[in-house]
This record gives sequence, C-alpha cells and structure tokens, in this order.
Amino acid sequence: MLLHPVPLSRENNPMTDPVIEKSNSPSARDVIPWRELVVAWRDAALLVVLSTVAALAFNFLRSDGLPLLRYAPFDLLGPCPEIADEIPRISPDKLRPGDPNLIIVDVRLAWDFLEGHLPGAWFLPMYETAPLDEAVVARLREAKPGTRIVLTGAAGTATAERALTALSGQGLRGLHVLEGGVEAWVARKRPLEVLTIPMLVKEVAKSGNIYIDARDDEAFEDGHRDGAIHLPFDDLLPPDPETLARLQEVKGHPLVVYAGTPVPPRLGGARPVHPAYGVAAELVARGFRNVSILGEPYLGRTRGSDPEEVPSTEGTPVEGAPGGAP
Amino acid sequence: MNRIPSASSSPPAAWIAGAWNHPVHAWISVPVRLVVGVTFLIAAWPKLVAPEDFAWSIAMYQMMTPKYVHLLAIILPVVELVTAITFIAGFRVRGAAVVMCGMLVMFIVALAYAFIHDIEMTSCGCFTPAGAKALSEHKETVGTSLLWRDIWMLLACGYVWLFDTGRWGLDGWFAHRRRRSSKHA
Repeated sequence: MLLHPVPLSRENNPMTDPVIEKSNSPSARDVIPWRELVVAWRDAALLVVLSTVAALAFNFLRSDGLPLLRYAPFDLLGPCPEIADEIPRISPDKLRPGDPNLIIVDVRLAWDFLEGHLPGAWFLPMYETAPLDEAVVARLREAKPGTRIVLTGAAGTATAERALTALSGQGLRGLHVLEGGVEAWVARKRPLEVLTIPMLVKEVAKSGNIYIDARDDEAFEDGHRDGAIHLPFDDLLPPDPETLARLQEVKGHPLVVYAGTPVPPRLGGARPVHPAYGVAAELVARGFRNVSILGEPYLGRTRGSDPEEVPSTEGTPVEGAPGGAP
Repeated sequence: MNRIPSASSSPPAAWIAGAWNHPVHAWISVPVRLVVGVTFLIAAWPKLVAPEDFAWSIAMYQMMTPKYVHLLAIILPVVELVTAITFIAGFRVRGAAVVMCGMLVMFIVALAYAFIHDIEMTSCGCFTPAGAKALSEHKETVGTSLLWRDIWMLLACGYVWLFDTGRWGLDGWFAHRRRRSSKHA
C-alpha cells in the first residue's frame, strides 16, 4: 500500500495535471488541486521576472529604445507652457555631466563660454535682441523623449530663466535652470572645459589663410585685407548667418581674425571684449577650429598701402583714388 | 493512510472536487485561452512597435509620476506578449493566467480611475497607443464598455487559473511524454 500516492507524484511534476497523471486513481479526481493553484503564482512571478529582463534587454538593444527614467513631463495639455511662475531648478550637486539623458546648454555669450563651460555643454547664446539659434533648438527637439535639459548661465540666472521661457514657448520640455549658474559650479570645484584661441603676434604669410575682418562696416568699406571676409564684432547680435555659412565652406583653412586696434596680450577676462577676440570666440564656440587672432592691428586701407595712413574720415568720397581727397 | 486531506470524506465535497476536476474544463478552456490570448497579442504589438506612444497613453491616466512611466511602457508590452504566447501555447497555463489576471486588474483599476475622474484622453491605450498628440486635437472619456470587456476577460483568466489543467497545450504534451517514458522505463 502506498503511503503518499498523490503527493509523491506531484512533488516530482508540480505542473502536471492530476487528471492526466492519475486518471486511473479516483482519489486524485476527488481533490481540489490546491498545489497547482499555488504553484501558478510562482510561475506567474517567474514569467514576469523573465519578461522584465527580456523587455529591458530589448529596449537596450533597439535603436528607438526609451530612457528608463523620464525627466520631462508629458505635454498633455497642448503646446502652452505650464511653467509660468515656477522655474524648475537643479542644484549643481545633482548634475552629472556625461549622463546620456542629460543635455547641458550654456546660454552665455561666446567669450564667457570659452573661458569655461560645463563639460559637454552646448552653445546656445542668449543675445539681448536676437532670437535663439534655430538650428540648435531643432537639435534639442530631436533629443530622446524625457531628456533633461539644463540651462547654465551666469550666477544671476536671469538669462537662463529667459532662455527657459523662450524654449518652453517653443514646445521643449524637461527644462531646468542650474542654480547659481556656472559660478556655483566653479565654487564646488567641479571641472570646466576651457577653449583657448592662439594669437599670432606677427603676421605669417601663408597662402591658405583666410582673413576675417572684425571691424565695423565703415572701416571695412574703406579698405581691408585682400580677400578678407567681413564679420563685424557685435555683442548684442549673433554673427551674420550667411557669413557663417560661407566660413563653413572653407572650414579646413586657417582662419585669422584681425581688428583695427592692438590686441592685448591677455585675451580672456578683459572687459570690454576686444573685437578680434569677440569674433574669434563666436567662431570657436560654434565649433570652428583652426582659428587664430592676429595681434597686429590693421591700419591701412588695402594691403600694401601706407600703414601710417589712418582710415579716411566720414564723408570722404569712396570712389576717388586712395589719398585723392584734399 | 492517505495524508492528503481527501475531499471524498463528505459527499458534497466529493461532488465539488469531481466537478472541479471534470475533463470538460480542459475542452472549454481552449477557446477561452485562444480568444483572450489573441486579444493580448493584438494589443501588445503596437505598443512594442511604438513604446514612446504607449508611454503617452500611460501618462494620460495621470496615475504615475512621469519619471517612471517609461519603465512601465518598456516592460508591460513584453509581459503582455510573452504571457499571451504561453497562454495560447498552453505552457504553464495557470501561471500565465495569474499574470493575465494581474494585468487585467491593473487595467480595470486604471480605467475605473479614468472613468471616475472623468479624465479626458485621446485613446485608452488598450490597442492603439495614443502617441504624442495634444488633447486639444482629439479627446474622449473612457466608457464603461471598456470596463466590461476587461471584467469579462478577467473572469475568463480566472476560470483558466482555477480549472484548466493545460491538457490541450504544451503542459499536457510534456506530461504525456513523461508518462510514456516512465512506462517504457
């Protein structure tokens, strides 16, 4: 006589059907299959765990996988910005550059950007009068859903807040302002990325050089270096996009920026910004490499003319020969 | 002798146990499993294809903080898919039925929540993920018909958990093979 006819067989095959297993034995059919009902919960837990692992692996491998955590709210109510009086802020202690779900955007002007920005920060300057750079905003919009966008500005954060309002008005979400700006970051001894521009003390004649004239329109019209591209310095407006596009075409060549006054030996930090440094900084911050500044001021009208000659005064007819005016 | 507390000790209990283990359940549960399983398959596919759109559907219920919505949007469709396949194939049927019941309870709670709070949404996210559409474009509130559909499926899955022995499926096939090999041994 079997002592444990039913339990023994079930012990071996927990998932088997008592009806099938024990179809000859009437005792099995008389028992409510409690064990199977409970084992189902263990199987359910296993199923969920395995599916979760598979789901995470699948999400990791697929190209359009989602970030696991989302830092931007869902814009359920349409394109109206819901941050009217409360600006989301983030402490520098919580910011981890290099996080794939994080984009750091520096909204300061080019020369401040060069002197030190957060590692990997994008350059999106907030000028007094110009709208934000559309190309960069478009790139921000292409970021993965749920990406946290942190705007870093000066200590006052007023500019960053202005940029945040502008960007949220354009439908971007997940925007934050770095508390205390870049200064707070520096105060915590966190690393900065610094860009420098080499200065040529004297002109080195090179055939590939492309000169960029940082002087104002009037001085440029009066005379400039042969083949120089005019990109006047302006701290209220971004550089002319058409000129930037032209420079993009000749990106391989060394770009040499010159101005009408001598460039001080120490470039960064000086206020007001020297025009040559200002223009060169705009270019470097926008990703141009191979940019240098010519230390010598440009005084003459055209190449080879008398360097002592001061650019002509206002009202002088331009069509006349150089020096033709009385 | 028999250590298992046998239900045959009293006649009504014996009758209940007999009805519980009646072979007819194995037959009834096959179409039930097919219908519910195929429904889940159809529901899982678009969510797998467009997880971000599904995340929007989850967000519309406004029951979770947006931070963790992506996790659910990543995991839930795969759980639906895997469970639906095992459910149809009859592999660990009762376990799959428990997972399905869990998911359906979740859906019912969410739908009821949306129904009670009159939450407007572009779609319930059951079969077609809502996508990143603003509510201004299209909105509707959850009707009770969706609730009833899920309640019926919950009952069906509960039935499978309680009564299906998995005879017509992989479970039964494995058991059959085991029996045959033990006979030969």
